[in-house]
Amino acid sequence: MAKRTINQGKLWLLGVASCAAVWIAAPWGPTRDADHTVTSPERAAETTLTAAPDTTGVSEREAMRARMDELERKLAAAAAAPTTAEAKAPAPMPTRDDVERSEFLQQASVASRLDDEPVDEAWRGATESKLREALKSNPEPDAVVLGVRCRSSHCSMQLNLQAIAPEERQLAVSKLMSTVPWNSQAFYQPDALDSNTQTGTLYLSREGRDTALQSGQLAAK
Amino acid sequence: MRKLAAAACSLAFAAATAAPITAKADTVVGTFSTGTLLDDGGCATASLNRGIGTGFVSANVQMSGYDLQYTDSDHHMTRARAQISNVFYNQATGNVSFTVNTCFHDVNLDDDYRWSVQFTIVGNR
Repeated sequence: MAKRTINQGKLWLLGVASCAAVWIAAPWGPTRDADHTVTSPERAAETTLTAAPDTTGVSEREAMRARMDELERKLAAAAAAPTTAEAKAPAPMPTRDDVERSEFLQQASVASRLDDEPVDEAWRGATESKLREALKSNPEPDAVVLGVRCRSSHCSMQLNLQAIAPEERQLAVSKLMSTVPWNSQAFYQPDALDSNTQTGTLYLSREGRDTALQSGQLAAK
Repeated sequence: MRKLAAAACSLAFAAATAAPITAKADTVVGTFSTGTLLDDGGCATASLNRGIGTGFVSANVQMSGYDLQYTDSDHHMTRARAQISNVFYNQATGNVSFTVNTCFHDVNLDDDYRWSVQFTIVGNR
């Protein structure tokens, strides 16, 4: 009796499994035929019923299939071809060193022109004295002023920034600038393009000529 | 009880409104410009100082505008930058000094450009 019940149970399970397999294998929705046309079961039935007498529908389908084939070819060709961005390799971005070198060379050219300026003797003496006096209150004692010289559109200060870390030197220059007794504009040019360079020159515009240093290049061009 | 709560609220409100203002006053000293400068390409750095007078505890410089312009046309841009840094107020001289840096370039760093930066100095008493 018990053996029979077990066999019945096995049969029942087999039946349930078969039903499930058939149910899973049955089409759920639209199916894709070998020729890539999409057909739902309902639509397939309709087609079977109406296809034979409707020759116009057949030619429309053929035209549509040809159009789809053409589009698919175009898509495949576009995917295979390199894009414009890929074909043109991007130019390398300038590095920090490139930028620093460019700025150094540009300032060197201005410095060279300023160094060749004639000297306005009437103005130079009094201004150098005034500047030396003002520099006595330099709030940045590690920025050592080696010398001061004025020409006609500017004054220059030879500096030794040995005791100041390279990344702190612009701030040291800023502190030094705060002692200048007139509104001015300046740029610091190290003696060489090397972060270990400890000396350089601060070019300082003459009073009343705030933008003379750099804008002087406009006239030079 | 309600009257007590109202009285407490009134007291708190009165205390809050009567509290002395401890924040220091900021004074806008003025808005200035670097003037238009020319750079041979890449980046430019300038140090500036302006006398604002003594009597301030500190001062700050805020960028209020900038203008970057190539001297000729048709460039691919990789960087446009303007910044103010290293602000220092000297209480003894009454001068504010700072650094202005601009960059305006493509990949070559070789195109001339004109630049100017507008800035506002704010003093704190």
